[in-house]
Amino acid sequence: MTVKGASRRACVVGVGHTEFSKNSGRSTNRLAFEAITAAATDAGIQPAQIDGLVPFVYGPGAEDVMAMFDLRDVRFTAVPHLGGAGSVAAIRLAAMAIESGAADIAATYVARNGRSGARIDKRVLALPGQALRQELEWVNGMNTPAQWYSLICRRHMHEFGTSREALGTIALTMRSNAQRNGNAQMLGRTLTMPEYLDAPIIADPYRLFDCSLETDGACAVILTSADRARDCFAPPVAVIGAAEGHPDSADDIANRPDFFDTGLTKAAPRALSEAGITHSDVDVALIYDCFTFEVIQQLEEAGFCGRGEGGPFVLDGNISPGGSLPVNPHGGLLSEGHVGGMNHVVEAVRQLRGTAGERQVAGAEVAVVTGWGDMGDGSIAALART
Amino acid sequence: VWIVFPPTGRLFTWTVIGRTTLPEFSGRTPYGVGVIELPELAVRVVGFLDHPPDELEVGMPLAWKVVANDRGEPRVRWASAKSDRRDA
Repeated sequence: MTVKGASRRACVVGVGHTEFSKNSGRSTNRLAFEAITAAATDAGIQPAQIDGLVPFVYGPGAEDVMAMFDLRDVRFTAVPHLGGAGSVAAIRLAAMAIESGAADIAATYVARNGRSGARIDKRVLALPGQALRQELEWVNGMNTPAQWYSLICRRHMHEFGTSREALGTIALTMRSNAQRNGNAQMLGRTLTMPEYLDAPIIADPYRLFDCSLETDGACAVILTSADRARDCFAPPVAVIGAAEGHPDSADDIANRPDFFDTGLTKAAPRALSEAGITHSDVDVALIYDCFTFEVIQQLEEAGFCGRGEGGPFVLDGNISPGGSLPVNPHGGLLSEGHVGGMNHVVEAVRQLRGTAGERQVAGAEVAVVTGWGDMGDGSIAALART
Repeated sequence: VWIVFPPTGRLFTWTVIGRTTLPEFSGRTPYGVGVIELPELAVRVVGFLDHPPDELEVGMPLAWKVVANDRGEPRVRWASAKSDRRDA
């Protein structure tokens, strides 16, 4: 963010969510209503004060939210185009709106029936590059993100020796973390390495437990300026740096000159530079774990370890709760639930407030949240307690 | 302008698809799908791999042919171009 003055610095002041389930039994508009209401209550504002809206690319739009809350003068709307990386990109857009004065109180949200409604193979029909997808990939038997990204994972295994045990360590760490989260879909369901290794093939090397959950639910996040944040209930969490990036090319994984290039490769240095922090300043990381390998790739491309070192980094225990870089204490998309990654933002805020209960990372002052979407788009935000 | 693929390429990476929602392929799981390098054209293409999934290797030479699917539509299939291929 370009901070004109400390008083206008964008801060997260409210987070809210519904329960996460396989079948919410209600509309996505209703889920959005509940999550935004919860976030407004958390912030200590009235929903009617919201004058900026940044919806997710799929789901209830800005007009839906204006209607449900009878918002009378929304001054700013925008939708980021990064698929699942859109949640963190939305935090950036909302922060830019706050810092520029385009809005005073901005809400961003994800609401979906990702299991009982449109599942992933249907949602990706809204992706860019449909002619390429349908004419060059569907005819060859490929049509889902698990299949696309497993191609990157396989090549990484070939070049760097990344092992299934490294992927399994991510799955098991997320599952273990979820046991300390009352809202996690996988609460009470343990996972062992033999169970992980023997699971049915989805898109090898991805088997069942390499894949994130398909979730019904909603999350919302409310931001305002530092001066207004003083009137809110909870301690504000500042957005100290944020960026998005897109790989070359944006819609085709197969032909990237650098096969591991992602949007995050470009975005991470921009966000950390803006925040004025280095990797060692990060106390907790929320990494978009749509599949296990994407955690390794994003740890590498964000610079938390070198390219090719992600497997050993994970196997050495660095991402566990007591490790050098605790990752996804809530259990992540793999074991808490997949709400477009907005649940990662919610968790980062709770960690920085110090209200994460038995999964609290002691003394957490700086968090990084990443997003991954579409064919490797990337986003990243650095958040700090104030 | 139509450009004909060179007769062979090399397997750059692959996946084995165990579950599919594409009706054309629902009876064929598990099957391999690869990214095939065609150095002469400086391009990589996605292709269906007509080869046992547990014998796929990065770098293996592959040759393409056009076959008809169940509806008589043309489809490209890639098979091993090794002279000692075991799946012949």
